[in-house]
Amino acid sequence: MTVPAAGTLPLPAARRGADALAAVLVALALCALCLGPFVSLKPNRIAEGEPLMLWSAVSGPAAAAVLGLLLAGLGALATFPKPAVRILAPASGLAAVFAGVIAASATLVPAGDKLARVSPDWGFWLAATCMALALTDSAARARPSPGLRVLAVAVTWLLVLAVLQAGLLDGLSVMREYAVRSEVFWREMARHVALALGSAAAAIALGLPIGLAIHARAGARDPVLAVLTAIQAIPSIALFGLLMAPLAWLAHAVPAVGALGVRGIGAAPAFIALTLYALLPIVAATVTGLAGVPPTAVDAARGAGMTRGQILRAVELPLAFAAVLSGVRVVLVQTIGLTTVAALIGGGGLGTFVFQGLGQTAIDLVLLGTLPIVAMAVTAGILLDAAAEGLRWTP
Amino acid sequence: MDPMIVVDAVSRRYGDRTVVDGVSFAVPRGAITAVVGKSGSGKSTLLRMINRLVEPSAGRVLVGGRDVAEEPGPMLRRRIGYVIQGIGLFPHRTVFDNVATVPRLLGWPRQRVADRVGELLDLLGLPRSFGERYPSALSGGEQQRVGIARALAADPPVLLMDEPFGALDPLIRRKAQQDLLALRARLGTTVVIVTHDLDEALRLGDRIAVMEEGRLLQEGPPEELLRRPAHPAVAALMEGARRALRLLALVSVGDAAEPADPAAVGLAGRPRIDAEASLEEALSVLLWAGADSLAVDGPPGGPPREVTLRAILARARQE
Ligand SMILES: Nc1ncnc2c1ncn2[C@@H]1O[C@H](COP(=O)(O)OP(=O)(O)OP(=O)(O)O)[C@@H](O)[C@H]1O
Ligand SMILES: [Mg+2]
Repeated sequence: MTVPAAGTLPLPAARRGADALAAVLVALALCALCLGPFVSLKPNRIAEGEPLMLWSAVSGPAAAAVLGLLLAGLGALATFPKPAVRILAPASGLAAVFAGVIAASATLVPAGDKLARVSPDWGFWLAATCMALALTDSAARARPSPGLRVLAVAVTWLLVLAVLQAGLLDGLSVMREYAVRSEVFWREMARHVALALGSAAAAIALGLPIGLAIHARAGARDPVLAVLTAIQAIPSIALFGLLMAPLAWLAHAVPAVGALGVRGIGAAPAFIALTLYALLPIVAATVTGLAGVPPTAVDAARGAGMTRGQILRAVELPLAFAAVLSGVRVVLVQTIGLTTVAALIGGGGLGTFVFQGLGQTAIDLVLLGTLPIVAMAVTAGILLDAAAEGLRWTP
Repeated sequence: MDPMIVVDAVSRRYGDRTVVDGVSFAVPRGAITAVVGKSGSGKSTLLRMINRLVEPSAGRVLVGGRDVAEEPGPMLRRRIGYVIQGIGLFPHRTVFDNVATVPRLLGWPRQRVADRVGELLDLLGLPRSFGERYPSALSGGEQQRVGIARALAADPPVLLMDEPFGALDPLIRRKAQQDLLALRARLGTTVVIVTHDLDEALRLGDRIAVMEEGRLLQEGPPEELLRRPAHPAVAALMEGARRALRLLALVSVGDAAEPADPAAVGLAGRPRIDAEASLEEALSVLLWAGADSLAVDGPPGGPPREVTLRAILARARQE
């Protein structure tokens, strides 16, 4: 299926007038900013924070600018939303509240103070979420081409990294947490990525052949899928626990395995558990994809004198490709998130900060682990969506 | 001469159902055999046992004198053109790539493949620019023609066609039938064609095979089936009441024409008919004009000829 270029399809009639959804979301963001604390200021890491409204956190004109911009966006969305306006209004609103946080951290934390910190409060979070939703909705309906989506993701990442690099957010509590453990952060980040991508790759390498092997054999298909579904249903911590004993025994019984770093706890059980979790989506997607191949096409391929292998390569796999790719997408997004739990059994990764933070009731530390995970998962989702669409066979 | 295809006591069972039951017949080299019968009578299964898409439960099939079981299925099928029931184009490949399937499997050089695909698109009346399209951008009838082109691509000596013209409108269907006859005349291809349409079977088939519930009720030249149905079901299929007209449809005007007396009055003013037309059409023209003979056109340069009502009636009469 192709998605027509933006503008070739008339929008549904109801959508041609005011953009109700985006307008409501922006209005909600406005309310959040007016009613809820924008940031809270803490003199140090453990002290109780002091909630501040937007206009107390930033200068009067700055607050007025943020609110004014949102109001203008709301007005535009309620009256004459051209596609560009639908995207620009929430995007500029989102940028404005982020700029507000930057300004707040710059004005509220005295220069040279390494202890005081600013955390975004619920007014900010709600406003930012509303506008991110409005932006996503508008962007999705503008049907950008796959290339454009990849570009947008890349630009966003560059922008965020530039802001971080410039130190604009250094007064934020998350960044304070980062500052004292930047080295550990990057190590755990690398570990997280390696675990997530490694187990996803292993699941693809195992799951594709399994899917191919079982799709034509109903007798094998249903039991295999049932077992994989059962594995998915085991709570992750329990699965890690279940793997501990056999791996500890294995490492003990076979010293060579132990020498490779395999233990009852650590990266090995985490890797295995994550791979097991990722198997179901891959196998199921492969089976679904192959089941969707028109039987007449396979029959015609046989009739033309293709061998089993040629039929698989030239007909079945290309036709199942889109479905398999959507399985890969599910697995990547799921695994990036699930890798968090690996920290519980000493597997490392960004989960380390999450669980440390939970233990110390230091929510900023939890955020330091969570925000990059969310960002990576969302990015992986968008990139694979774009890939699935860009590589699909139908003209 | 040896027949090209010999089907020898072939059966196929699925579980305890026998869907093809002890069928034997032969297709002479260069002949067209049309297989007709009700839905579910086993026509497709029979056809698919010739190229071993379905393995017979019993019996054997010879193609070109060789038992098909001796050769690996894929190799066998590259030599036998197959038009699948329900078109079955590869949706992810362009028309060009669809048609090029077998030549590429046979390892033809690129240029030869391209030339051949172009030739086939021309032959089937498809613009060459269609080569770049995907099947989803074609009408049902166009897709069906691409399916036929794909089956013909490697000049197979044997062609199996499973309801190949079903999606074509009557005019294009007529044209496709004529093309098939022309192709057979030019290349000497041996054809087995499954069809639901008795008129098509009579028009194309040198021989007709009638299937019912897995059994072959009768197999032979069309005229024989019309004049001497071996089974009430065959008679019913031939639509007993209309069989005189069907017999006339088998004979061309040229074959029934007699030399006309140039001196006879009004030869020039009489209604005319082409020598290629069937006697059925000639009869219709006679009835319409209220005449009792027609002047026959062609072949050019020949003596003047006519076809008379009496000659037509003689052809339609029970023997
Ligand atoms: N793979 C199979 N397994 C079980 N039964 C089958 C199989 N293939 C065909 N049959 C049965 O064999 C019978 C004959 O099928 P076949 O496809 O040969 O019929 P047909 O004469 O071609 O019918 P149609 O005109 O509808 O195409 C049908 O009753 C069908 O259900
Ligand atoms: Mg059939």
